[in-house]
Amino acid sequence: MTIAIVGVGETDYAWKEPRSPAALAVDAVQRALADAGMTGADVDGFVTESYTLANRAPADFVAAHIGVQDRAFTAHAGIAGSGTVGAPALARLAIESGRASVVVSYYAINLSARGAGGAYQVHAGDKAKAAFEMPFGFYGQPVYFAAAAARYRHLYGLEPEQLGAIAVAARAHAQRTPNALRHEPLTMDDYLANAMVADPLRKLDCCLVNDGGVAFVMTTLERARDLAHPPVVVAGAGFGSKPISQSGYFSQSADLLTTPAGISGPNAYRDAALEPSDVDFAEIYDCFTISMLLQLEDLGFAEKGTGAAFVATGATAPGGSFPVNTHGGLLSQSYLVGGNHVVEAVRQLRGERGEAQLDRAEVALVAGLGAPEHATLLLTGDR
Amino acid sequence: MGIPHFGPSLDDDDVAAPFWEGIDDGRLVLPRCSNCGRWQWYPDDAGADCPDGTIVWQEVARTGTVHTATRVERAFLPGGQADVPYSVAFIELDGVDGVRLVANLDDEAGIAIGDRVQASFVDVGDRHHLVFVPAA
Repeated sequence: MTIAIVGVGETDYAWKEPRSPAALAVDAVQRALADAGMTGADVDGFVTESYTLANRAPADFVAAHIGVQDRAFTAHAGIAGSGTVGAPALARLAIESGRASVVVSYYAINLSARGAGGAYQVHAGDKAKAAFEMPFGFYGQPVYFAAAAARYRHLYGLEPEQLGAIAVAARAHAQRTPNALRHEPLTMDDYLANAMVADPLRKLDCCLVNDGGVAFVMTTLERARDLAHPPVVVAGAGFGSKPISQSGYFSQSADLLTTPAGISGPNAYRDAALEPSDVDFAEIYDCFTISMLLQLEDLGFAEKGTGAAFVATGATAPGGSFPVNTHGGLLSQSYLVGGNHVVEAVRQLRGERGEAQLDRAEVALVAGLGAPEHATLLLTGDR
Repeated sequence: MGIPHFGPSLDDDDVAAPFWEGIDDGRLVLPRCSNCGRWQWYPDDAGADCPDGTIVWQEVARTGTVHTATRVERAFLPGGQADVPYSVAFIELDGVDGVRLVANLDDEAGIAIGDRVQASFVDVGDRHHLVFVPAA
């Protein structure tokens, strides 16, 4: 059985949002249901990521607020981006097996107002990191990804302008996206003048830290054809994980320059009977410029070690041959942990993006990373 | 030399304690499985991977190769503004397969990825700290 995404919703994206993640999730889900032409009474299933949402925005809270009567299916997928982007894989299992008919996925976060410690603090409670990494200042996600970027530079070469091309392209896409948080122009000179955080990553190589909620609604393709918007078909979905825990992922992974996208990508392509050359555009988890670059290679859009030169051609920027993160991504639109990437792919495939609408948007790839876990999603129009 | 002021944060009877006790003694000791001999890095309270194995700590070589390194210029640890800049690296020790030690580098020594380095145990007052310097 084939399923489709039939509704998407985003709260306003903001800094220092007073509402809790649970309240933001309710808002986003209500917007997604309205977009689908449904109400909470139509919903009987939920799939969310497994790292924080079960505590911060649990399904029972959201379901009660939106008026779900019979919640027959509730499941949690992988860590962070892998769970949010991979949610349709579990939703499809539930719908195929008759355990649910309309499944909602959502993500919500409120990190920007937490003060000292902020987004880094989520790893401070990890005992291995506290014992073996933090005493040496290997702490903070920018430092983790800088270690990989420095290794990439050593093996393959990595010019500042190559990482900068990813940041500049993200901003150019964000300028065409009304709800993006960063609209001000960003030139390569601005990037090169930006302060180094951990060599070779500058502040502009790092994602935003902001608040908001995002949701999407899934049901059978058959039912989707009777709804308001053109169906967006879940053509393929794949999970993949590296054989290592999150504690050791950033330092002990056998190859620092591959992500588990190298596992989930082939699974998704096989599921969809599609290849990288079939994909028109991609929304790739860009917590850092380097993480987007590594996944771009792992997913088959550039050979390992050549992605830096590829992005420097402008291919992924607006008007390029292979647009990536057409909403501005986590770098310049919003840090909604890949949920916003799913929403953007849906809007492009529906042809709703106005001045940012791609000329060719028939096959989209969405990639979500969560340390050792990854999900790849292939979405198409109703072909 | 660029040493973050945060020491290790260990509980009583912490599984990581022998590593830091070794550094105070000027030795590198790492945990491995008594049954299969595999290095158990990072160790945790689930113990050795083999069901009938235990964790044993073994002294290892103080020399190795820099796998990657970054110079950190912004503080992420609370109160860490005085710590930056510093250099942190992953070291692959000679004869220890599948383990990378996270450690600081002497950032005045111009050490690059791929360089040979050796451990140095720096007295920081109440404890010693692990810093890698160019190999002799």
